[in-house]
This record gives sequence, C-alpha cells and structure tokens, in this order.
Amino acid sequence: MADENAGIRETLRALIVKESFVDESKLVEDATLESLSIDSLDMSMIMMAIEEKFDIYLSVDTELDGIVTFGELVALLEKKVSQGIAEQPAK
Amino acid sequence: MAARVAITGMGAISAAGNGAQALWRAARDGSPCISQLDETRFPRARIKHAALIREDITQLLGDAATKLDRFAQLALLAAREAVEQADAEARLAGMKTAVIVGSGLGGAETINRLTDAHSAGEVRVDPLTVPKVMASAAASAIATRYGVHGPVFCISSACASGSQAVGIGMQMIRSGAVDRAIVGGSEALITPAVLRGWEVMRVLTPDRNRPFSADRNGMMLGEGAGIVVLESAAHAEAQGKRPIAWLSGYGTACDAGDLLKPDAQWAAEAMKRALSDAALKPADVGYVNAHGTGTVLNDVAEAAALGDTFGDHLDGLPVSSTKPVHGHTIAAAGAIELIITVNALREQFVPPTINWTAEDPRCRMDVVANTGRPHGFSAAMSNSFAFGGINTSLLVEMAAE
Repeated sequence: MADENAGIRETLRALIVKESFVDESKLVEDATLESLSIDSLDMSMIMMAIEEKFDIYLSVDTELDGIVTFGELVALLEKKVSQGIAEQPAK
Repeated sequence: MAARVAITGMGAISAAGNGAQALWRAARDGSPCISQLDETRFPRARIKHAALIREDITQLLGDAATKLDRFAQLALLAAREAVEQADAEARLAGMKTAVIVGSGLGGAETINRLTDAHSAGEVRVDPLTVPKVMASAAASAIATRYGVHGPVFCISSACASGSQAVGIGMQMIRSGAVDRAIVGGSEALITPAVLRGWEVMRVLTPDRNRPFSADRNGMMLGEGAGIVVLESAAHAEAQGKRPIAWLSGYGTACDAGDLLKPDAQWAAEAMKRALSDAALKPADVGYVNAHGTGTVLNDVAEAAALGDTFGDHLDGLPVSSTKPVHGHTIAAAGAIELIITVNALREQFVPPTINWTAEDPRCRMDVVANTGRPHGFSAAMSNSFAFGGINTSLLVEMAAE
C-alpha cells in the first residue's frame, strides 16, 4: 500500500512540475504555493492532468481551498487519487 | 424628478417548467428541478446532472420557434408571458419601448451542431447558423414579435447579464429615453462541449448544490429565461395597470482584479449603490436573494460583502440562494432570481436555501436553511456576480394593493 502511494506521489510531483512550470529544485514540502507562483489556473491544469493520467475527476472543495504549501497539496491530491482509484468501477 | 419604474409583467421558463408561477412554487417549496444528463448525448460527462427544461419548447412556441436557437426561443416564451401579464401588447410597438436581453454564450446549441457537422466533414450546415448564434438574437426576436423600434440590444456580462439588462432598462425609463422596456436574460448552454468547459474550471458539484453550507463543493448549471416588463409609473397608471412591484434600485461595480476570484469589496459596493439608488437604508431591506452559487469562493466573498453592506442588520436578515432548485442559469440568473424575489415580496414568504447541512463560519447568517417561512418585509435585494468581476444588485419594493 505504502509503495503504491509512493508511486502516486512521484507521479503527482512530476505532473505538478510539468503543468505549473515550477523549478523542481524549489519544490520543498513547506514552500507555499504562492511562493511557487502556482495560481488557480495552474491548479486547473494540474487537475486536468490528474484526470488524463488517473481518469479521476476532482472538483473544487473546501479542502483544496485551504491548501497553503506544496507538501499539503501533494498529500491531499495523493489522498484523493488513491481514494479515486479504490472507488473506480472495474472496467 | 426621475420616473418611478414599475414591474407590470413577469415571465419565466426554467427547469421548474413553463411560467413564472411554476418557478416561484418550486423556489418557495424548495423542490429541486434536476435532471440526469442523457448518457447518449453526454457520454464523456464527469458531471451527470443539471437543471434542464423538460418541456418541448418548439411545441410551446409553434411557428415562432423556427429560425431561433434554443436560448432565443426561451426568451421569446418568457417575453410572451410577461407581456400577457402586463397586458402591454397594444402599447409596445414604436420607438418608446426598449428590449434588452442578457445572454452569455448566445446560440450554444447551434454552434455545437455547426462544429459537429464541420468536424464530420459535412458540406450542408444550418444556413441560419450566424443569425441564430448571435447573442442579440433573443432581443431581436422579441422586438420583431412586438414591433419594437426603440433601443434593442443584448447585454453580455456573463452571470450579471440579466441583472444588468434589468438595471439599464430601469435607467432608460428614468431618463425618459423610453416609456417601457422588456428586459431580462436567457441562457441555454448545456451542450457536451460547453459542459466540458465548465468541468475543467472545477466549479461544478459532482453531487448536490448546497450554497453557504460548510461542505459545499460547487454549483449546478441550469437553463432558462426570465423576462420582465418595466414601465414608468405614469404610463402604467395611464393604462390602469397596478405595479406588481416597484423596481427601485440598481447598483453595479467591477472588481477590476482577478478574472475568476471574487472581491468582496466591490460586491459590497454594488449593493451599497443599489441602496443609495433606491434611497433605502440597509435596515429597510427585509430579504436578500443571494447570488449564492455554492462554490467555496463565491459564497465566502458574498457573505463578507453582505456583512460589509448590512452590518448588524445582517443578524436578522434572511438571505437565501434558490440556485439548488433552478440551477445557475448564467445570463438568465439575474432575471429569474428577480422574479423569485418579487414573488417572495408579494407573498411575504422567504424561499429556502435547500441542501444545507452545516454552517460555514465564513458564511454566518440566516440562510433560511432548508425550509422557507412567512416573513414581513417591504423591500428586497437580488444579487448577481459574474466572472470578470462584474457585480450587480437590484432592489424591489412593495407596491400598494
């Protein structure tokens, strides 16, 4: 289970770098999204990439609204994606 | 002195059905009008529901429906009801009437059909595509139907369109430019491609629209049209028409900031300007029909703006969003919700905010949670806020019986 989430975490990290054009060296856990210049449009792109990659649709919600740091963002997305994968109907 | 402006007719078509009364009953009773999207037409939709009109519009309109996109058909139907109620048909023709109808995306259905046909390589497409798609088509259709030669135009300011159309119509009557105006908004944009555009903004709820509720997670799209007939008090009186209500205040202010993220300061400014326009004090207002989309950002900003505008008076002021019932009808929202607000005033009953589960400390006010109730008041406000930072407020007041 832990290994599976590590994979998701790595994918999410790569996807955030690609979609929001941030400098990977600045992606430390407590860097704020504001300091990384990740704005609402970047978040939309990140969620679109998650949809492409994992076939999971995430809407805005209060949890995402309260996110301040990069670490919090990855942790929340990781939770949502792993939940989403678990809830996906068998194809 | 500027002319006092009366509302003498109201018409609506919405997910609640054909007619302003069907809309009011659904809002008053808190009966949501939600449809599942057709899997065949929306096979890739992530969001599976919307507030769709189930009536057959072409059947309701008859021959008048031809040559019009759905959004213009809806506007014409709503106009027909409003004009009938105002008994105004005989006095609309000529230069002293305006028609101002808000539209966000114009003929979305027609554009959808055009791009599908074009992508499929078809030579034969609808030859009326352009006149059906143009955002002013609804205003033109109404003007043509009633022989209106005065100012006829569309206001396109996204979710504020309908509200601004009403406000500008009122100003034109006050200025003496026209004696009466057919105003409102119309929107029919729920097509597979447009829905996808909304999905990627992440502002649509995948489950239930619940404005101001702590666990809210987005808005629900709707379609519809709301049209009202406005007349100067003198002209209404000359016709022996008693106003349904007075339209007494209009305020608008732009954030001039973020394209999408609302700024409470300028929403409050719109409300304050509407109050000052109507020469009312905050304490005179007894009900607010909120924009209340159910997105995290809108509801927090609107609650802050209401606090700024009404101060301590907000403690006893019912504020409800009826969008979970009829959906967010975008350019029609301002007019549809004005019609609900007028009915609330006339029946002295505040409609509920349904689906509400728990208080968000950032939206602490009387949201008339889940059940409407009788309430005595003589003035009410209706708010509309749009992407692009455009904020509008309208105020209506009770007309003596």
